[in-house]
Amino acid sequence: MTNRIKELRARDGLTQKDLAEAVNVRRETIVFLEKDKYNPSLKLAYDISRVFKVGIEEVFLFED
Amino acid sequence: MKSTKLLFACGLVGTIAFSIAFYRLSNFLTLETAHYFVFALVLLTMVVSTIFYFKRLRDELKGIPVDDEFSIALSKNAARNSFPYSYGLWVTILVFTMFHGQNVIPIGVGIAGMALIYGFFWLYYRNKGLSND
Repeated sequence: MTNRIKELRARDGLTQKDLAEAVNVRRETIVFLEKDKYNPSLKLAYDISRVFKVGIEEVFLFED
Repeated sequence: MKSTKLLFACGLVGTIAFSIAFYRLSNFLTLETAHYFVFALVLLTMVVSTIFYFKRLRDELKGIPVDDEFSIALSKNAARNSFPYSYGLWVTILVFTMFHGQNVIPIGVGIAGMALIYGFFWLYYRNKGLSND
């Protein structure tokens, strides 16, 4: 699974800290998500997509 | 699969290295020198605990979540993987204790060893990441 968090964050002018605060996690978690080193829970994925005002499938991309 | 093999190899090498080191250490250390070892262990524990709790307090005061799903998953993974190695460590210590008849040194080595094993796995997963693909 990959994601577009970094790209969408840049689009909205958010820092990693801003996003972390918005979804109530540590900044470190956002760093690991952006590096594809951690797959979030469904709740966190939903919260992140809500911050970017897009659907989950537009933030997190599943590959076969 | 590759990382599992690597972990197994590291565990095996670590167990052999520990057994040799512990055998040498138990011959070298007397009860008197063991007190310095215990003192160093207590001091190290106090320093690490103080840093850890101050860091948590600082985060809490800043309104940063002390634990979140990633940090909890990291701790769980480190604990889950370190358990069998810690178990093996205590069994190794038990076997050596049978031949040397000392208790203070092996317990100290066991406690320090458990902390080291947990620390190793924590750093390993922190570096590798926690992908559940």
